[in-house]
Amino acid sequence: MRTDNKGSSNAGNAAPPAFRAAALTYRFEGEDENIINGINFAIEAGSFAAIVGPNGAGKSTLLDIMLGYRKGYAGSLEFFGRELAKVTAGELARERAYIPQQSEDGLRLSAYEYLKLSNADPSKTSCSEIDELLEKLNISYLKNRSIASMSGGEARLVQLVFVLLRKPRVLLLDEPVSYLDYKNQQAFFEILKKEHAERGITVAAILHDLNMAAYYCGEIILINDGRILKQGAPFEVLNYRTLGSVFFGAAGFSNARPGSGGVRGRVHVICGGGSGEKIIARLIERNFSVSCGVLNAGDSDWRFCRANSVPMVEEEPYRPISEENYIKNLEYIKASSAVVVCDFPIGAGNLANLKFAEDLALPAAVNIICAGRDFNELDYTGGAASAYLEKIEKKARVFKNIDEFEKLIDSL
Amino acid sequence: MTTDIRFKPYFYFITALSLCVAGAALSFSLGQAAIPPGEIAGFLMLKSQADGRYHAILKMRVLRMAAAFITGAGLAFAGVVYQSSLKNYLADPFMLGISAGAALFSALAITMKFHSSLAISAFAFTGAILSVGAVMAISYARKFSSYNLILTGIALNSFFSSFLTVVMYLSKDMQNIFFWLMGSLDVRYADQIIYTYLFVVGAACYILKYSHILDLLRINEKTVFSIGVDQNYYKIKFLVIASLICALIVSQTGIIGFVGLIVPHAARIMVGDSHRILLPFSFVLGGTMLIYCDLISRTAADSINFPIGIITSLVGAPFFIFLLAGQRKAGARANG
Repeated sequence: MRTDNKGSSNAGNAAPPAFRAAALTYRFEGEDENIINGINFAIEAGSFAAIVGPNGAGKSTLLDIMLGYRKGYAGSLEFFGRELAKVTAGELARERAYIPQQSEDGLRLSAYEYLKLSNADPSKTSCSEIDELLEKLNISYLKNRSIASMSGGEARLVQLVFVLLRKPRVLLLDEPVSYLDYKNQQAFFEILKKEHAERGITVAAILHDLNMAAYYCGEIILINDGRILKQGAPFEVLNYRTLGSVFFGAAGFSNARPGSGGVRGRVHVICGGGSGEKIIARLIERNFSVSCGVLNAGDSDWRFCRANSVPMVEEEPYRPISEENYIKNLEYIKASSAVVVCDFPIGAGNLANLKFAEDLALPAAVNIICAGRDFNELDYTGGAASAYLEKIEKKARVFKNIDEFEKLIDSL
Repeated sequence: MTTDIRFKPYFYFITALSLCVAGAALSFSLGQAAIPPGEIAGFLMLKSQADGRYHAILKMRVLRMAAAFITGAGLAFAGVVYQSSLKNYLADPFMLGISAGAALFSALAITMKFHSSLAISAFAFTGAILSVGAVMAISYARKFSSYNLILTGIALNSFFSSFLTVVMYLSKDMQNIFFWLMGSLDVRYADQIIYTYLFVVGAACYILKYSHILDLLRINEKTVFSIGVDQNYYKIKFLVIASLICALIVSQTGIIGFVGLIVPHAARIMVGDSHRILLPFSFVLGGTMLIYCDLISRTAADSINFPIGIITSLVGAPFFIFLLAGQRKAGARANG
């Protein structure tokens, strides 16, 4: 390992962090406003960190600075204890590798030819290492195929091999999985996670999918408007307060307006994934007082309710419904004259939303209305959800579409 | 679907080389004067000829064929280098002002009554170098990027072209200028050809040594930055060398369009983007194409030599469209 900078501030600490920023500021040439605004953070060596934030927050600029690509920052950014601006391009090349946001579209090089380029002098790239890595990632079949003919997922994995061949200490990734389907995102991260663990590579990745960030990364840096809002473990950073203030403003939603006349009664809507939006809007237009829950923060129905100030029971993002929130939801249900169960996918995390069918005696006063979609399609719990739904359906008035729903509520 | 793309380059390479040899052979035997095969064989074996006339004609044909080959090869090679360095598949060797500069200066030379082809060549070369130099200097003084280079090139090209129009309008030698502009492979001196070959082949070999850097210039800029390669340094170096090749060729043959744009494209479709193969293949393909174009221009009509530039477009365009159509089908298959 290289000798550390004598001026390093972490005198007692044996291992300096991979990155440590102090009052880091950056501004594009000729612009008045800082894109990065005096931020402080540290990414410890060997950690797996996600940089998240809305578009225009300054994520990519920050990563470019960390890459050494954007020079002329103000403040300080240390790379393993040395000021990044003073590390030579050659040294940097040996220490860190990078995967860009774009894949190599339309490149008519075979994977093998492309991977050879991972070294500025291709003759130094070991062929056996290429073979080994391709083998390890189960993509040996891509070796002689042209990048242009690969799927997005395949091309990404080849890019991952490219950076692994460089044996970096630090790996910087700019939205590595944004254009991949869910399966390929997972495949990519599983491999990345494994290599991270085996080789002790420090990973810093810009991610848009908060779900992925929460699941794979040990550390999340949330930035907005060039400032760091929060850094820490996923559960510390991703809560409905931060997500609400950063990602999901009220803007962009058409607000449902109540019609004229008095309030007609309370309806509780159980929904998720956008299944409730239209229904809630119709209810508000018809002067019902609507509540909603339990919804995970960040869910599209959650955003809709927020935008329309619908009272709801909220759960932290990507977390199963807690006992406490379940009971809160029951209170809402009990206080309502009707419950609408929408057709939303049900997994282990939100199964508790249907548990009321068992716990409440379902008094006749409560009208339960079900969307008549085939619940088997929505059941990801292996039957538990269907059992609840059957129970609910027996006492329910079922509607098939939004028009039938309107007729139903008009008859209430 | 697994496609092994390894075997194809060799197939195309061998095909192009065979076509080239066949074209060279045809160049000897076809022309307005019919020459007995025995005389051709004799000429090739460097035997002294019974009939001096045949010898003179054959020598002329050899020079012309040699000129055609190196012109096509050089322009196509430079075209690949331009496209990859500028990261723009629509780039061609004339994009940064070479043709406009050469045209303007040769027009000036003709207007100023320089009649020797050597003088006109010298003027054209100077003009080409001046204009491409200006484009590079201007964009370097601002912010050096491919985008900037191309824009500056376009601006300077049109500026020089307007100037050329003025010169032609005022000049009494409009026809001569016009003829020069259309390009011609009439080369009178064997020395000229030999020096051109030495320079072009030398420069091409030098660039070929850096073929992997050209590969790198084609991939993501930040990725290349991350592995510690100074892209601008190589970009400038390659563009300067390619420009010298072009300027040298253009100064001798006039402006022969299309080869530098279309041949690199066609070559990419056939052998892919790996420059270790793409560069020599484009070289051979460009040379071969021009030999055949020259053959057509000499033999298509009695007693008229069609300007070579017209033939390159007439022959090249349909061939290229054919290639593109084939590629789309292949692409659809790969995606399906």
